[in-house]
Amino acid sequence: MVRMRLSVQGIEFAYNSTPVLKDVAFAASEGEIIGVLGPNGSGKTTLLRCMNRALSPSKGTVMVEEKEIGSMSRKEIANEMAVVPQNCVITFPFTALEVVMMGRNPSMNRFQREAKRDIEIVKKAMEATSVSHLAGRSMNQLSGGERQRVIIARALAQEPKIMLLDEPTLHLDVNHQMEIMELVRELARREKLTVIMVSHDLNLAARYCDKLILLNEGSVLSAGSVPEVLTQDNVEKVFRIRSLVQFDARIDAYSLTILGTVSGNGG
Amino acid sequence: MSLEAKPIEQLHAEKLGKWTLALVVLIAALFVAILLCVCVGTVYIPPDRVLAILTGNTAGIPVYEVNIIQQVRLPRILLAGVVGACLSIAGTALQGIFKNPMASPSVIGISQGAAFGASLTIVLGFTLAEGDFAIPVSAFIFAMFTLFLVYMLGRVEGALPTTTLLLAGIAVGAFFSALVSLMQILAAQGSTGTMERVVFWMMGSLSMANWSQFWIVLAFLIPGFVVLFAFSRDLNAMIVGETHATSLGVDPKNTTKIMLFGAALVTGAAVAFTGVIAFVGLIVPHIMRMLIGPDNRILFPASLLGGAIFLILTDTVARTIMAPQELPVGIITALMGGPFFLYLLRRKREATEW
Repeated sequence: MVRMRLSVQGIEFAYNSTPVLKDVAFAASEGEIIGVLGPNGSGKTTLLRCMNRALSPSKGTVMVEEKEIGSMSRKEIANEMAVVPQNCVITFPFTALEVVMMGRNPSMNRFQREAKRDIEIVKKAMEATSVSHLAGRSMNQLSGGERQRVIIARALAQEPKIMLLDEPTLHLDVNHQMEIMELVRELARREKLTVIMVSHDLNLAARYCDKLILLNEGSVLSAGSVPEVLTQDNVEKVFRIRSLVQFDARIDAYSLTILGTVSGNGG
Repeated sequence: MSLEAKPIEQLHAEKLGKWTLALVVLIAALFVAILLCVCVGTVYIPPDRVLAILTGNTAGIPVYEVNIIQQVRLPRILLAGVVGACLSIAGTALQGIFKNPMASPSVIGISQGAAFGASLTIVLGFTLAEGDFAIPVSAFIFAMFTLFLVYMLGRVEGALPTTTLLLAGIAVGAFFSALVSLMQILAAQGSTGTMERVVFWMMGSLSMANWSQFWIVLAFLIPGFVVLFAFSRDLNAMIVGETHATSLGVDPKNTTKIMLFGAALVTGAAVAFTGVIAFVGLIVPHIMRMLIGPDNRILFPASLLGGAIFLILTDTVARTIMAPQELPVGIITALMGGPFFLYLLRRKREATEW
């Protein structure tokens, strides 16, 4: 039986009384990759931020297994859930190793030093994302793709059950986009990690996600499998493009073809 | 084997080894600096005699030498040490929390704000605390206020870019130093020594040092350091980014408040008795970062020790280079700090785009 890892229950959120999220609900089980799609301003990143309580929703709850995150400390949340933010620009020359080691912070006391076990975990995490050879290099010297892999290694070093990714492939070259997504899928399968990923890239999401959630103006328009969600009607309504989703046997996954834009007043 | 291919265990062990070495060297250097600087002055007293006096063995040593050491040089040098330590750990905290290598107590105007607070107490008798703590407490309150002001003025859409931070800091700093000068001149109208007092506050000086000042600054330094050091790991995460910090179980707002509070606490104490000594809080954290890396868990203790050494040495230069004429120590630190600041500005622009 597949266990429920995470459930988002009727979340509402408003920035200065402008509603951003309206009654958003979904659940994710272990090992599952869920893609959160939607145009700019549809509330994707806000949803992610509510999920790790960087923001507090005005209504609704987020449950990690049997625990409500509202009742957990930030450290407890960090031990269950790791976030890979959009980008990182570091002012001072921290090395890749130092950044990955920060993933151990939530499990340590304020004055505790890293123990042998922590170093082992960090080593494994860096091997998993193939960044061991970059350990001694300053983060600022790494390419965007390398940096993103280091941040994913840090997320793994937290030993989380859930990983939240905010546009993990933004600003990356095509080959790095593929690399990151292959890595995420492998981690989900091997480590039984639940992955929630916000993405702009419909094609990448169609290819790698097990389930999709389509947000439109802060509400869930559609949720389910790739062909259920990325229907011609849904995509046209939300993104104003005409498209076609097909199963492509060559890549053993769904692929989305953009046929054209919807001109005029649309909707 | 190339540098980056070293195994992780080795890299980590090397880092810790470097930390230990840095602490040992800095502590040793601090003792040597204190000892040497106690020897020099208008009267040279050789190290063996100084050691004898310091260990309480004054037999056969002229009384005036004992007095020079115990009542004049030692309190001054130790005050320089704690003031340098305060300014340097404040600089480390501010650079980290603003994610900005240009931040320091005097560059962003907090020192000048603290000087204004101190002057209010000295000139107008405004007090919030009893006795000897009256001056540092008002200095601390105004350091906090200035920090808040600069932060609000410099903020652009939630971020704090270098240009607006520096501009806000310079404007607020200049405004408070003008108020300090004005107050000193009005208060001492007609009497002699007015300009000396203005210069004292503008450039900073340790010439009025005494034992009680040392103990008071130390009483601020210890809790300030403990607070900053306790949150050094959180500050590391904050430097990577606020969303990163949240993801690592750190509360960004809380950490920011604690860092700013700690920085204001030690800056207030440092400025209260010695005026605005510029650039210490800028240079020392940078030198330490270049030597031992950006991890704040070592940067705070290293800046504390390095700042103490730096100000002890520069103050000794200030009081001996033109003896018997004494220079404000701020002249020496600014002569070294100005070019260094420009160097940082140039190098940063070339290395990365902000």
